[in-house]
Amino acid sequence: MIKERIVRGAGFTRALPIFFVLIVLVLATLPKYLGVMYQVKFVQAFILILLATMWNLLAGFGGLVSIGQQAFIGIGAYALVYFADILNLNPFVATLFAGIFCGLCAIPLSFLVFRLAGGYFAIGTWVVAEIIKLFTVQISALGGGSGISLAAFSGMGRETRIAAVYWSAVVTIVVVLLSTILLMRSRLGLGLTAMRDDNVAAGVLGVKVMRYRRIVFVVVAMGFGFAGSLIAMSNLRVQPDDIFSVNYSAIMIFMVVIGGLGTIEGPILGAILYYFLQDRLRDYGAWYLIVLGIIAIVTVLTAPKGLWPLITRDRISLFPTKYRVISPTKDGAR
Amino acid sequence: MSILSVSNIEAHYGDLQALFGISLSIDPGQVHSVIGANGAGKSTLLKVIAGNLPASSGEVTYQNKKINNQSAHERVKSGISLVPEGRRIFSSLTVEENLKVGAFTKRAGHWNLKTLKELYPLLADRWNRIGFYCSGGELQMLAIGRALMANPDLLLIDEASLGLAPVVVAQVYASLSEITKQGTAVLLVEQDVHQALRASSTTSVLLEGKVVMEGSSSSLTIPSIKDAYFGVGASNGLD
Amino acid sequence: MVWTNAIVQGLLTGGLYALLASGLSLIFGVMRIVNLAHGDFSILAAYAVISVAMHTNLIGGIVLVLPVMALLGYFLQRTLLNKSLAMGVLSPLLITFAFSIIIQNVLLQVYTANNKSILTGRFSSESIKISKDLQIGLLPLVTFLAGVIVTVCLHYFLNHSQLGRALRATSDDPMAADLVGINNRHIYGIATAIGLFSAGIGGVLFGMRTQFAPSFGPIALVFAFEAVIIGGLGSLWGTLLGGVVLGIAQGIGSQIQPAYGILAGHIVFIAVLVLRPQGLLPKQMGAQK
Repeated sequence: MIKERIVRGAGFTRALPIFFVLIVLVLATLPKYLGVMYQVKFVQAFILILLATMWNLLAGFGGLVSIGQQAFIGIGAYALVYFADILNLNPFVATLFAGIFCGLCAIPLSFLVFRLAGGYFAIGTWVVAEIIKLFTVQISALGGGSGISLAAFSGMGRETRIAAVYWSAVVTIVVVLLSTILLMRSRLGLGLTAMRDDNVAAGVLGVKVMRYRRIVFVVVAMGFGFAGSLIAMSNLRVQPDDIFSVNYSAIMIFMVVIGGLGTIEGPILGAILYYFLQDRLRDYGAWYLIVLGIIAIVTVLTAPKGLWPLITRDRISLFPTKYRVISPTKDGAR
Repeated sequence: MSILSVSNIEAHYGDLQALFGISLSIDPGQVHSVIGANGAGKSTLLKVIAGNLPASSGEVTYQNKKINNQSAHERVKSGISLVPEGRRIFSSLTVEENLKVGAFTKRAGHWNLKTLKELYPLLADRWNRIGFYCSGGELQMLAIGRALMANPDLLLIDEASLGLAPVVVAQVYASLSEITKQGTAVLLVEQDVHQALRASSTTSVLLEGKVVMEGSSSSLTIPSIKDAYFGVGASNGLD
Repeated sequence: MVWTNAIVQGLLTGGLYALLASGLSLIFGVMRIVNLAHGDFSILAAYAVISVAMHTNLIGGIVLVLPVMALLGYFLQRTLLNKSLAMGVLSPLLITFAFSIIIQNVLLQVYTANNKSILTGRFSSESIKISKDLQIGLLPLVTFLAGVIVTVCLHYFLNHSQLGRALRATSDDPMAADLVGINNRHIYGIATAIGLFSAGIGGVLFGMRTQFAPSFGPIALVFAFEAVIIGGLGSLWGTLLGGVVLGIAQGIGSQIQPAYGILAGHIVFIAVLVLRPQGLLPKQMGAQK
């Protein structure tokens, strides 16, 4: 008797890891052919993808809607400057340490904000981000209210520096995306999906809800730390009001909601869409944010799952994490 | 002339069909009981009549008007009140406040705080107790009382005796005649077959979402109901 | 004496935070959603009063703007928010966050980023002299009284009016509320209307007391949020107390060094969260869900 099979992904999914590897190879060889300008643009887009992916991991899989993740972007950025300039570490090693430092900071902070739930958790994370900013401003070694410049690259030529930043961004995004996929395919990922679908039921089934959430919170904080240090590398300057800005949260939420919360591909799509939107609308000043707000509301109300599931009708999964049952009678041929 | 009639009602929970063409009708001032095993669709039927669950096909006619498209709160305004499964008393409100909220639609009629105190003296003693702290019997009386505060013409009661002490069950059933005396029709869902037959004038027996037997309560016999309960002929193997 | 003064001024400011917080708390209590645009609605009301007052006068502005805020709340709830409520916990958060971004940037377009304040003439400078070193400004006193009055009114409304009971009933069990004839969608509209009305009062008094800009909404939200958490979720009197505690903490902080005011408030908030997460005056058991 032919039994149903349970496989990951859908449709022509299994050919796609190769496609993915190709994209990575192309991205890795691009700096040779593209001008410096485009490398900078790519770095911007990579940072957006990184931010969207991390926020989605937190909210879409962990069920933790935060509007305070700029705390870790800021900590990551300042940590990079501190490790690279003040402790004189190699900037790439400093990036690694900045990420780990963010993860370490996230552990005690999680015990604080996890006391709040739902919407109050969201504001709570924001307040924590504000407090961290207020403390950072008090530290004169980090430049106080006016911020601090990153000097580690000052010996390098502009092109070399930009290529270095580009490479860091490529490496970071590959590592982060792969770890996200692996994380979601692990036992933890399964538990997270169960939690997201029904918190209480998952708890009853033995998913350690609190512990899983804490792990996600910490892992995501590391991701934001990497993003923060990339931002510092590409801007060469860290200013408290910018790096701790709640606008980061607004942008991340926009990208994830537009693309598709709780999918891996959606936030990437959202980040790319946002990248082009901001490029087009930047000149319109405040109107641009108003338009983004309206688009977000319309999307939430009319396509709550976002664009990715809408476009692909759940048939295509670039990064197979979901299981599905293939029945031999119906679509076993696929 | 019947106050309520439903004809060929079908209802679904998502993809799952719960009712398969149910029809019944009730006259004013009468008690009609609906009995059947767990999962037969009794509560679902009440939800459809109260407006909590839309009928996917069929008609709900109340006082000669088709009310399929009315929401639950609109039906309360026109005189249909449901005592829901699990009673659903407002847990942060006191007994008095629960009753007052019951009168939200301001329908005129016999029932008010004073007449309810007379109907259920137990509630009068618990007047300022918060719903959260009420016992099962108190909750049931409060739930019926809260529904009566809307002065309904049709009262739907889901599981009148479930989980209650026999003394309380007796009190609840004794109050039914007071309620019908006001001309209110009662549609009663009940687990206890004997109790249901005694309290009602007509009865429908449900099995797997269909009416398998109906008639005046006095004409239905326990063995025949048992057949209907478990499918025809089942009682041959039982008892 | 400077400390007494700092504490008294902080206490009076606390009334303002309680005002901002009561609407946030009410909306959360009835619908379990946090209005992330709450502070922005306050600032919106303050700007609207400035604009209307230019054509009439201050009283005219307030009398016109506050009911409009309530209507706006009802309208937004009935159109957008009710729809999002059915779509899980995330959607209302996203929508109110989008409101926040939209309001801030519309205000930025219309009124620019320059600081403004609501001019009250002599009213803002008059004060009552308690002793040689302690003076109580009339405006701070009025602000505080407004906070107390709104709390008392809300308390009375929720406990002793039929509509208030319906709000509490819907908060307990929306389905059962539907079954006694309460239209949940209308009740939610009422809750948001009251929420924005009180946010409006808070915003106007805020605008009379200090300068403000379009970007001040989030700060107002944070203060309101801290007052709610310090006081205890779901408790009106707790929220008033939370506002006062926050105000006093900020007053004392500012007395140490002006830059420490807000930070001191944050620290008290964190301390409460760590040491007494249910808040100072939590809702009584049994009244809890």
